[in-house]
Amino acid sequence: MHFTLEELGLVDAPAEQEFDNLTSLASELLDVPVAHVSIADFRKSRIFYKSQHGHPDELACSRELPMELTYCQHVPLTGAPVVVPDARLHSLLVGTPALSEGQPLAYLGIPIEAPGGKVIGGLCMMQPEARRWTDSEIRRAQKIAGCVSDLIRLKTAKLSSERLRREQREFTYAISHDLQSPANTLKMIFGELLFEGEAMSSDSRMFIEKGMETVQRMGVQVEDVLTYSRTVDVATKVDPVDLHSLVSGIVTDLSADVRSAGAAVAVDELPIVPGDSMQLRMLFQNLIANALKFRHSEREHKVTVSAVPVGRGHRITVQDNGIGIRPEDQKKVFGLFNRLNLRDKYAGTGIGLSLCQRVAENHHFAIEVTSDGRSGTAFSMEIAA
Amino acid sequence: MTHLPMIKTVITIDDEPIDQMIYKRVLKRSGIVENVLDFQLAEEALAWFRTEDRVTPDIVFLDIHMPRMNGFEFLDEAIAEFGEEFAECIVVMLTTSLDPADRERASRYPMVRDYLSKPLTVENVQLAARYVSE
Repeated sequence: MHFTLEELGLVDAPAEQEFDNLTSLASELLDVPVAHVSIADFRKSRIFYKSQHGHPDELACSRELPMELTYCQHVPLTGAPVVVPDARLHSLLVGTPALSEGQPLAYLGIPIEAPGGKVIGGLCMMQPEARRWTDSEIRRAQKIAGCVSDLIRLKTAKLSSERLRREQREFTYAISHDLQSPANTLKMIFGELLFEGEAMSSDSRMFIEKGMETVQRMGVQVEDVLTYSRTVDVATKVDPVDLHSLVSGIVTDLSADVRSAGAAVAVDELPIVPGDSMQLRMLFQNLIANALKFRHSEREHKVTVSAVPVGRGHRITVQDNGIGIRPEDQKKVFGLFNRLNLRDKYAGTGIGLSLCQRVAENHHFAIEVTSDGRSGTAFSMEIAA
Repeated sequence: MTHLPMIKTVITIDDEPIDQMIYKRVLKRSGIVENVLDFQLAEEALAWFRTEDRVTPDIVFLDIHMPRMNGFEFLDEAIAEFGEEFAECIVVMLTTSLDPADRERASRYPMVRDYLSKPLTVENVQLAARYVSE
């Protein structure tokens, strides 16, 4: 993937601490008053200083110079280190506008590269007096320049992944909508056919009903995929979230499920935690709905949501006494579209816990499963205060 | 058209009840299948393979994406447990998976003779009958 210097934030962009750390390190390590990261912008015939250490005020403010006035131009032009012990004697500089009164005499410019190896600028160090640059000094400067190139590689990788994510999100939306529309049409067709009910054999009616069920399930699946992609992509806001009122609200919303499960739901006193209330609502909604769903037919169903303080946070646990999850299946439960049960026994699209996992990742905590595979399941997470 | 041999026993492993119902109808319609045994979970199929004095299945139609144990895990488990005997089975993958990696993976199992996209057709069954007679 290719990005411009502008997209990478290497020209006409604010200074960044990561680059400034490296220039100031170069200045200290080689004991020079001035060091900078120069980026060659050939389109505008200028050198832009992405990072600068020790520049005079005027330059520090403008952060750029016409290319012909710089020593730095020769680093990308030659694609090799430019080692200048005394500018007055250097073949690249003598008789050029770059060599003027008051310019530094000693200069060392080491190439920095974009991914793919193209030299886009230099890590440059200089001082007013002439100086012999030793091999070991040049090697040290090359190591720091390598770190600058690595920073640019990381920036590129980050931009690539953001672009891919954006494309993937757009793709998910497009395909979901494209799937929804034929599914709706099928639903209408089956609906019309059902009106003919009387005239059809019971076999045909059964098929139409199965068709209707299937296409409805498809609608739910597509909805869930959309919800998932929406959740994983939105920026996570951090506000104080009152878990107690959030969880109580969810239990009220799920009261039909609670009744049909004949379940006793207990919500302990829960803390206020920092987080995104929409996302945390989705997480607890899924965990509690699961806890209600996977009940054991032969015992009274109980679901508890509890909190205990741990370290500087809280361990929140959603526990049920349902069918449990066998230890060998526990690592599978968070996988996208994974289900552990037949649909005729426990309905579901296999997205819920993947969604919970993503919310947890967005909030920098992990969800742990505890179950002996028989007597219930506990999902717990440590949320920082 | 040459006369097709009869298939004595077909096993279908698929978690989707509607798909299972339709397999039964297609297999019956083909007119060349005598018995069908269906399992919604791969583990149930494994349990059946463990039973004594069971018949030897001629063909196994196997789905990939299933709860708990997927089609590949089933193959690994069956090879580990029944070895030679299972290696002589004819397995036909029957799946909605569009992932080329799944097809590639399936081809590495010696007993997997074919990889079909759902739905199952009478022609598929006729072709499978030829594998049995070979």
